[in-house]
Amino acid sequence: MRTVVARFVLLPLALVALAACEQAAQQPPDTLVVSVLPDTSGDAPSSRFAPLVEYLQAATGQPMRLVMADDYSALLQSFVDQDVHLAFFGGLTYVRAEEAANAEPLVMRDVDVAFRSCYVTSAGDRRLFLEEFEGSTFTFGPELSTSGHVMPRYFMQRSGIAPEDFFGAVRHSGSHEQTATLVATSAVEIGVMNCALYDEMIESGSLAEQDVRLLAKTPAYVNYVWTIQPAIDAGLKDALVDAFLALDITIAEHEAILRPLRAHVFLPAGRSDFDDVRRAVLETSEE
Amino acid sequence: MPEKQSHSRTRELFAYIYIMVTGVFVLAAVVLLSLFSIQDVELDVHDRVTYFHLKSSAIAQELRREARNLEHIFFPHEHTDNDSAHVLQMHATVDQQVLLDSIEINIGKLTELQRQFGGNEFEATLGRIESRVDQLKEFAGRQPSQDEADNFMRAFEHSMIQLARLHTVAAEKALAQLDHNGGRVRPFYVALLAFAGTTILIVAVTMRLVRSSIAREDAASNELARSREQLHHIQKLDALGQLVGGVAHDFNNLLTAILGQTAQLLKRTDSERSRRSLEQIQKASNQAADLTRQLLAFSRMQPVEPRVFDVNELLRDMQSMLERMIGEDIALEMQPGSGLSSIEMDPTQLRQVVLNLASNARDAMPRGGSLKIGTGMRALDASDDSGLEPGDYVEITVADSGTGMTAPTLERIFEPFFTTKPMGRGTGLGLSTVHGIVKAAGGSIKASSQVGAGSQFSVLLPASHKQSEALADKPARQPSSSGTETVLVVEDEQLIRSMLREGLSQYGYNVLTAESADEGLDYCAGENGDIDVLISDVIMPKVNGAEFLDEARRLQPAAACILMSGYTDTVLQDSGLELGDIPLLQKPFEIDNLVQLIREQLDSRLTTSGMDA
Repeated sequence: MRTVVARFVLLPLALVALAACEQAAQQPPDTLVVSVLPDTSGDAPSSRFAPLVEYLQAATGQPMRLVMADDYSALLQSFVDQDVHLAFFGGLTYVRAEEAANAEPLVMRDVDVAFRSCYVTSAGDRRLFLEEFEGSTFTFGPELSTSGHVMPRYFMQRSGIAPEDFFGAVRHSGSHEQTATLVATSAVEIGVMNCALYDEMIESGSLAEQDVRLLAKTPAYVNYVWTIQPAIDAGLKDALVDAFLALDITIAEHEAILRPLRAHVFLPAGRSDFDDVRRAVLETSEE
Repeated sequence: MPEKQSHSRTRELFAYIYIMVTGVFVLAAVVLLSLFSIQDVELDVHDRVTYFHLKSSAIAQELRREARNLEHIFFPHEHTDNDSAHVLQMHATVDQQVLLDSIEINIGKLTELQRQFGGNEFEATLGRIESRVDQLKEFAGRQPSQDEADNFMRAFEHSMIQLARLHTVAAEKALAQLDHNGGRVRPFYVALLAFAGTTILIVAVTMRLVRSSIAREDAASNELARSREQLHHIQKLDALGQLVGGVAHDFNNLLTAILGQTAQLLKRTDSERSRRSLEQIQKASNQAADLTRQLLAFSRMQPVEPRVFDVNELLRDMQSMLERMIGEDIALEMQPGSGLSSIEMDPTQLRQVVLNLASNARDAMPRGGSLKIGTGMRALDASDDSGLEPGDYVEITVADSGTGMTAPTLERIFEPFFTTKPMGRGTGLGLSTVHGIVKAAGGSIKASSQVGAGSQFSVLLPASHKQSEALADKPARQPSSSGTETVLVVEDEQLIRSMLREGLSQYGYNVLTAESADEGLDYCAGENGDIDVLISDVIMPKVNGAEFLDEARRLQPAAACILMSGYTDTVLQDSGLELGDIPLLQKPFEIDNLVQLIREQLDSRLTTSGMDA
């Protein structure tokens, strides 16, 4: 009789109970580990992100530790391994983290909402259109870079250019700066890189205007995003979003935080912001 | 024991089914409640997305558009001409107020929506917007610097974009949560519902099967028990019939001897007292012979001997026997009708009918009562529903003041093996036999009864217009049948042998007796001269009577032959005996009857031989 009770009554009730159980929210970690992408090799990333982390710590009361990742894949891996709680991902890495660990987008910079990639060539090159570079040597940025590889390849494919067939030679440089250098020194005839970084390099003088020329820009797309582990306590997530959103370039003390990040304000980010990137990842990986 | 086991198995089965059904209903209830609560959540999310997030987002976009006008109305820095600047300033003051009002209305809408739906959702952002509006009001009273104006414009627009995006992202999350539930939880509940439904169906079907199987089993076992009981009855009756048949045979032999000897004594005695005593013995023996016939009737070996007789006379003869049978606690009241016609049937069978009805009446009156037996005439016409031919009928009613019968019992009383008596008391054959006898006599029997008010049986028997015979003392044939011929009697029963020797000797016959067929044949082949009459018992050890006569007639071809037996000729024929045209005398018989038969046989032999001559 007891077996029958167990089989016919308790088991379904247990199933109901299981179904009713929502994913339990995790307690806030003692120290929130924040990790960022090394997208520039100029200034030390830690010095660029340190003011932000300090600010967030003060605003939320949550102790934090900033960890620099060696590269894209290392950052992704540590997020999937849950060694990192809050990460600054590029579009592609975010999509990968979402697939692998249900990563949750929090906020992004105003510039990230309409990000573009820039085709650059050496200043001496007289060609005006991308189509004229058939058979030329070409370089993408790092393979896992959204602005240096995935999105430019996606847009080229959509306009009928298969890079490997169209260009004479296609390579991947290790970074956006490397791409700029290769083009400036005419080591490759044309390259594609992060526009924000291009502007910054020109502005800072690390890239001489007489060495390179901006040939064209891709259509806008959504790129970088601050991403958090889904299991983090909702209260902390809300506090973080509030803290990010309160940052305003027009406020003097915030300027010191936002300026190094090349941001004016942070905007809330949603999963659907990355629909284009997902599509791009899908289409370019089909090749 | 097996019955108990099956009973507990059934109980256990029902307990299991009960638990299953309960479990299923609990599940179904949980599932339904969950579905309803999910429905509520879905409605709530739907409202939040449609009325809160999207509307707030739209208002934020509207505010952002209005902010573009701010630059022209609040910060017209391009106009350096003082006069025109002054004029513009005047217009601007008016427009500023309109714009401010419009912005404040929209902020009010946002706050109201916030209050309605979210409590403090996005409070920080909304707070920042409100402080920007305060700053704008402050700008309305003075000319802000270019930097101030630029910063304000950027900050205001940032806040608006933030607010709009906050709502779109929140709406997206809410919808994603719904999709999430829809994608995982809903199919689970649907599966659970399907499971619950299927289980209920299975349980219902199982219960129906179990119930019908139990009903079938019960019916089958009842049927089997009834068949067994009937078989047992039949076997018992069969055994009893064989026993009764055998006993009746021997008993008939004894009665033959008693009746024979009594008849001889009657002839010899001159004393009137002795004669009366002997006549009583003769009457009692005749009644004993009747009893034997009843036993034979019970064992279905009884020969039917229809006679025309008066029912009242039969009942009168039975009265003392009936009184003895029903006992002193029951008053017997005989109500013989007048002008009664005779009936034609075997009187023994009618006695059986009356005895049976009276015995049932007695059993229905354990604490005493009254039994009325009456007779009368009934004329039936075509409209009568008794199923009988129209005509005159003699009605016999047997009414008691007993316990009565229920309608269902009344419906079944004439069925074979139906009995309400305790196990071992009734055979269930009584009333069915009665019914059979009455039907066979061309009559009908009906019963009416009420619980507590007694029962009444009415027997209708067709009236006969023939002259009725006397029942008790059949007219004895006149002893004008004496002779001097030699008679050989072969009979294994010593008592009958000696009775016949004495009886026949008294009529002048020369009587030879033999104990067996062999001894009889010795006489036939012997030197003692011709034998005129051969009389043999039928059933004898080694050689039966018929075979003996076959053999004996070869030795004594002129001899007349007579067989006698305690069995009826039908029984003898059924057992394969060929009696041919030899007359059979049914035991018990009186010596006069035998002498009469001997004389008839001898006379016909003479006639036949005479004719031959």
